[in-house]
Amino acid sequence: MTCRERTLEYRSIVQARQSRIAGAYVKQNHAVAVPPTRSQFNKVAGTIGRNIANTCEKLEKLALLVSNKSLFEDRSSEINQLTEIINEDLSGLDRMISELQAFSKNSAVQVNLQVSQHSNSVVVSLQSQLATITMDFKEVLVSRTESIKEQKQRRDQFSSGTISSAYPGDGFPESSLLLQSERSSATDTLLDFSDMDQNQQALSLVESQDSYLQERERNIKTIYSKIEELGQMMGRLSQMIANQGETISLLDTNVTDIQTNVEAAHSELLKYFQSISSNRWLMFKVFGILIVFFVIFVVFMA
Amino acid sequence: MAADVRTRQIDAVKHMLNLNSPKSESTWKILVFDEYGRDIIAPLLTVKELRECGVTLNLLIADKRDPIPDVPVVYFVMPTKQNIDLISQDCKNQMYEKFYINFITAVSRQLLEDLAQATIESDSVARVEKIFDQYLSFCMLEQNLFTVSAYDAQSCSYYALNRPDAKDADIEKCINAITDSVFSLFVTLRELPVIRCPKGNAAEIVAERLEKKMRDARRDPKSELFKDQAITSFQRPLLILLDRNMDICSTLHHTWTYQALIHDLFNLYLNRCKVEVDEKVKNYDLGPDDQFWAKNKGKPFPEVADAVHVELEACRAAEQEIKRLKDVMGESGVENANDQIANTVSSLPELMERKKRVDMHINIATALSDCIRARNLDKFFEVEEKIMTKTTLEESVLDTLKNPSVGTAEDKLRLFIIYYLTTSDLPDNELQQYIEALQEAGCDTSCIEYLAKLKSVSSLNVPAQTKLTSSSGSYSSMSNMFKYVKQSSKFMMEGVKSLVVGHRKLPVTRTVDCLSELKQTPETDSFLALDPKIYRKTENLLPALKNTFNDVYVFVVGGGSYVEYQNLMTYSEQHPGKRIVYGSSEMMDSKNFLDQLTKLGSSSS
Repeated sequence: MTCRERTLEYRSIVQARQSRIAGAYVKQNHAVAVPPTRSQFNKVAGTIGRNIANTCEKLEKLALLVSNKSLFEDRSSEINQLTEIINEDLSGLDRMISELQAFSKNSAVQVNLQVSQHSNSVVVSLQSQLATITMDFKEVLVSRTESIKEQKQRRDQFSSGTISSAYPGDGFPESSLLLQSERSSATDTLLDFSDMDQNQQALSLVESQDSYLQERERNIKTIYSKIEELGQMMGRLSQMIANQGETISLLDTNVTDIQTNVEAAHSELLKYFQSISSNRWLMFKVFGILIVFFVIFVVFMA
Repeated sequence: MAADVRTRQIDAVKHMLNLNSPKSESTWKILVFDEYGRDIIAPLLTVKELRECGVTLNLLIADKRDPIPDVPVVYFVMPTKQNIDLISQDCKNQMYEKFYINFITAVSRQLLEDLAQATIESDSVARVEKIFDQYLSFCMLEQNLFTVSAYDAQSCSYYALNRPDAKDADIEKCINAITDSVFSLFVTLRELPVIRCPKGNAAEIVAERLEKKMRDARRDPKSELFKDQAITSFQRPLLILLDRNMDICSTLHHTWTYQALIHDLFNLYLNRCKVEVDEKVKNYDLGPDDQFWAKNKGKPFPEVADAVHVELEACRAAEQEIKRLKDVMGESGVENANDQIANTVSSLPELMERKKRVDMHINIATALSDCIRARNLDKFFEVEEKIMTKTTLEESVLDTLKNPSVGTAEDKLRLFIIYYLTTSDLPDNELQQYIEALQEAGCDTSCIEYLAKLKSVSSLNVPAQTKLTSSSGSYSSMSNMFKYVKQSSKFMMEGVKSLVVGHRKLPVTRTVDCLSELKQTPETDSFLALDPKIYRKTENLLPALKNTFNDVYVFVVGGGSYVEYQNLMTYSEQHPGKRIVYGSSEMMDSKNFLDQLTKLGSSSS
């Protein structure tokens, strides 16, 4: 690694010094080791962070399931379940973050500015994390709809193909007229049956397909509604972020801002000073004129 | 082996922000840095990226800071007495929860003891969680460009190194800073270079210190700094240390490439320039993620103006496309329109970003061309190029200097210095004439005395060198050096000659070429060769060097210029497989350098 740890060196120095001084400090050393308890805010922020990570994992699983496009291995129930869970998670997280924000706003009043800045940026970064996850979720859902559409198309192709080939009469080889007539007479009754049978089969096939399609349609609808919900959530989030007014700035802008502000304040002060001093002069002048008039009045009138 | 210094440094900083643990568990923390730390991080990461690393607040150590008792803090500071005091003050006041202290360079034992003493006294030893030496004391401005430290550049400027009344302690401090910086660079790279440097100046001292330091670090069984480099060291990098005195002209030369012009006229500092637009000073960031900037910064200005124009047209076309979309929507099906809208919406932010960039470059380019027109910089550039390549001039230098309508006093002084340094024998009475002309134009001519001294010393040393340069093959293509571009668009360029920069190699580039290809020239044969990998110091290393070098690190002691940087970049583009990283103690614009020369001149007389 490119860095070098010096902690051990520091600790050994500390120990050497402490043993040299001995006694008095050793006793206190035990008392020091207790770090301050973490505040409510940090705890909540920590839980939200962990929850977001968990949700992220679930989302990855879902993405994996959705990307599996095999026609025969249908895992829609599993996918639906996961979608439901993630959706709940997301809305829960959303709620928690807004609670956290309210909490930080309430508590930030008493403490200093930098603490409130800190909690503010924690909230913002949590929000942006949530936003990215929501975006990912939306993308997964969109790809899910796509794949359902695709599957449906493929299924249509296959099923229509099987129906046409299932029609009777195709399979008979036309070897000779004689044989054919004989056969036709022999299989006439049979044909009827088989025909009906085939029709029935096709019917049931169409029916089952119908129900399947309906189910799929339902799925698609739920997904659409989910996307809509997500859209609303995104809107809210973006509004929140806009409220926070997160600006991307380089590190030193703050510093230069401060400098310009200080300079501006200084110049304002100077201006004020000048105006004050000029006022003072005005005052002197007015007094002077008054006194002159008074003197004139006293000398000439009295 | 994609050993890119900048990405390595970013990785190192991120690792540090992750509390120096490989686990990517994110905790919120506060970053506290001093000016050095700020300048190192500022070109690497934006506030947004810092936030992704879990940094919620970034504060200057010297500022007033409020206690935030339940959050850990990461310090990134220089190991100075002042900073140690501030940190122990923070410990005493129980400002933060845990203290992770990172020093930019190695902290001395003495300072560490001070810190220990202070924390014992204030009973806060348990709060200090970790202490690290980071070895990151260099500022990566771009992919291939670094400086020692942008902050406090005064202490190791050209003036500080060359002034006659300099104290030993000051020079010592300056050389140590430079050595630390270059050492950090190679620690970050995890490689040991072969060092080459000219004899008898500051560069040699730096080279020797550096070699010793690297050798010590390698021998020291406790340090792990260069341990894992044995595997990757099949191809070793070459470090060339040079001194500014070798080529003064390049820094004073009026330039013609985009980046160098911005640096010269608008004070490019930490990739940020200040441009006056509509009587308001605007700050523009020219970062490496700006595609247009990355593509065009090395091109001559007229070409850039054209490129800006093209980019603007492209933006307009994209805008038209979006407007057209509205009409199309009625005709095509809903399905199609949906997709199109989604696509457009997702591409909008990108387009906006692009538009903003183009606006910025238009503003900069307009301001530049105003400046060029006001100061006749195209003329100066042309004349200086001709002087440096020793072509005959249309108008004598004296006439140009006397012409009151051309350029500022500073421009004239720069022109004369270049003329003076390239002309081998200028009679005294002529010199007097020139100086009078300059004084008439309002120049402070005290720097010429210093240059005269410098010139006499260097001409004693290397008479062969001048002979070589005048007969060097790279000048043969002089005739086609100034091609006037006829079809150049009139966009922003009215009244400015469209000059094309010739591919002339500057002295630095020539040196790099000779050393990395192991060519035998009288110019570079006298260079010292040092190898920190060999345990005992050997006198003659040259025969051992057989392979040519592909990774070259050039470091100019006493200030560098963007002209040289771009010249080297052009060279590395022409030689595929060769990667050059340019560094210097500071990036000087010519005004700054001229000031330093004037100060030197007036203090020596």
